Amino acid sequence: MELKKTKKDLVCGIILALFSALFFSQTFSIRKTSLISISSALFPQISAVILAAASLVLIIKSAKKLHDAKNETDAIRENLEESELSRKQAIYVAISFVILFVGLFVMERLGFVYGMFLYLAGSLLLMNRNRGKKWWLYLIISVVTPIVVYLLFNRAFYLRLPPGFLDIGGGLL
Amino acid sequence: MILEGILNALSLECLLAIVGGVIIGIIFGAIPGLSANMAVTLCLPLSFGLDPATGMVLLVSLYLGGISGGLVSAILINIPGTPASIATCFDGHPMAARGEAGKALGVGILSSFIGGLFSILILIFIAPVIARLALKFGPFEYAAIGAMSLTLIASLMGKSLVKGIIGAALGLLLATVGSAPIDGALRGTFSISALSSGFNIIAVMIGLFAVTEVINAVEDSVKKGKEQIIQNVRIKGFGVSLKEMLGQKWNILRSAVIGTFIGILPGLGASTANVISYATAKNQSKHSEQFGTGIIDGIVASETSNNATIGGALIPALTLGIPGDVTTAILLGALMIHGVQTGPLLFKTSGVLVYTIFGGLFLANIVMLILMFLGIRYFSRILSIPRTILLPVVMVLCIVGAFAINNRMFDVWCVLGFGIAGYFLNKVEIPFGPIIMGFILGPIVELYLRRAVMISEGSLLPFITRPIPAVALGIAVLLLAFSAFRTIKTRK
Repeated sequence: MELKKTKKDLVCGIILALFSALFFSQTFSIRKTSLISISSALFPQISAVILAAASLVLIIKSAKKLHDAKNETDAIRENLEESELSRKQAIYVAISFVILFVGLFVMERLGFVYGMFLYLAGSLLLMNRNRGKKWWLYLIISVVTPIVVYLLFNRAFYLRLPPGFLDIGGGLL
Repeated sequence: MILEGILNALSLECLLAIVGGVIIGIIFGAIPGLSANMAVTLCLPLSFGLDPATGMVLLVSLYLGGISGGLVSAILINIPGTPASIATCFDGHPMAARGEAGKALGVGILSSFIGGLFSILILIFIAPVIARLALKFGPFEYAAIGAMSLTLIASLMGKSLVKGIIGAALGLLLATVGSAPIDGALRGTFSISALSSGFNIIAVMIGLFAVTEVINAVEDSVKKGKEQIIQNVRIKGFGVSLKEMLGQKWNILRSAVIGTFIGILPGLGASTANVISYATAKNQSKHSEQFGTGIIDGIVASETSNNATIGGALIPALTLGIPGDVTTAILLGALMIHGVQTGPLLFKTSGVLVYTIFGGLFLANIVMLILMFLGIRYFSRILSIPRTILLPVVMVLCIVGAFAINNRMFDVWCVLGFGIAGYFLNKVEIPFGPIIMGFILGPIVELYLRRAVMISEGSLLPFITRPIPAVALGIAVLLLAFSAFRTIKTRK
């Protein structure tokens, strides 16, 4: 478990170091003015350098830990059951991000109520798949929640949420 | 004049405005994504139809209710209702998770009340003196205090110093996206025009906290199959004994002072105060290792300080006409619309109105205590709803909150982006506190640093020669050294 964590730290350090390098390189294209002696690029550059330095420390620490891991069996001990669970978790996490993406995409194109109906229906079914067959309850929540939220914010607080493409009920549907 | 103002605040119209304002404020504060700012902004047109005193009392009640309500979702679902309650999550939710939700809420409500009361009393009795003192703070002082706060948070928030620094640096980098302060040069936009105004704190907070919480629930649903629901949340009174609260007296006093002081300083506000107070309480505590496991010290520090910023932010706003944050800027705008001239002469020209606002704020704090106390058992019932049903519904409200920032989908897409990033950062235990604080404090430090250098014509010497910046930077260096020493000692 510890070994797995160290590997994660190593990968994280590398990604963050690359991210800081990308950001640092971007600062060279920042427009310079003679208004102030401190350039607009300085602060992002300092931040990128701090991030790069801290990431480098993380990389070195993790690499050293991995190198020092005397007991090779640690790696093997990560039992199959656990990695199977992680794989399953990763799939469900990916699905929930896809559901959120689809919900937001539909919200932008077709309207708030449609998008949030899809998001709620998808998420509730995914997260409650072990909870028995209560699909009717999830369906009611998925339909009622976006409608109530839309009407509340649209009518009471005059917040124009993305209107429905059919333009029925003052943008509700 | 003081008595007349307080009597005005006790009128039926004002009392109705206070109760209504506090209730709406609490609801806005408790729903992640909606904030005290939003409550005040959305109800601003409503105040125009009222007389100036009632209208202003309504707005300050919304402000107080909004800041106070944030603790509810922070404790119950681990998603801060507003940025002012970020640190409340750290100990509030672990307490709720082990069946002490009522106690955590009770401690949070009491702390909010005491913090609010402290700063309101300061506002009523010594506001002009403090405001004049705050005026002595120049760009060097602000930049140094900002840097010190950031160091304090980066070095104390996470389990690892390196990861804390990574978090703070990430926050700083994200904050630089958009227009630079003073000269408006575009940075880090990667030619995306929507990024020219940068990322919004609400979108960052929802992405990191709310989306990550939803994804954690998805993971748990794979791991456990069926989750355990905490149903028996019985509570007597506030759920906390007088002895326990008295044991927090120094924590309360320190946090109230920090909150009021930070509230006075323009730009910082409740979102910074709660995390700084939490970090300071952790630093001063004899059992700092217990912070984050669910102890009342963390809730007391966070909730006392965020409510203490309310009175603090009103001090420069009402005595000098300088708004400390967005909400006080809106309040000043509302005063102007009502034909009241703000500035140092406000107490002379509209003394009764000012004291009516003070009286209204004082009463709103009491109303908040009563309403939240009555609500504890109902708030706690939220925990009886399975998280797998509750969280997707909360997410819909978060999306509304993100959309409401600028009425555009871009901020909602940012929520998804920060959610994905937050999920991976959470996996590698990079704390969110320093990221948020880097994001909030970064622009402040940069703005004042650039102003300072403009004033001193390029010299950085005043950072050492002026007492406050020198002390603040000295503390920052010592904090880093202390944290590094502690890390090395722990490893040995």
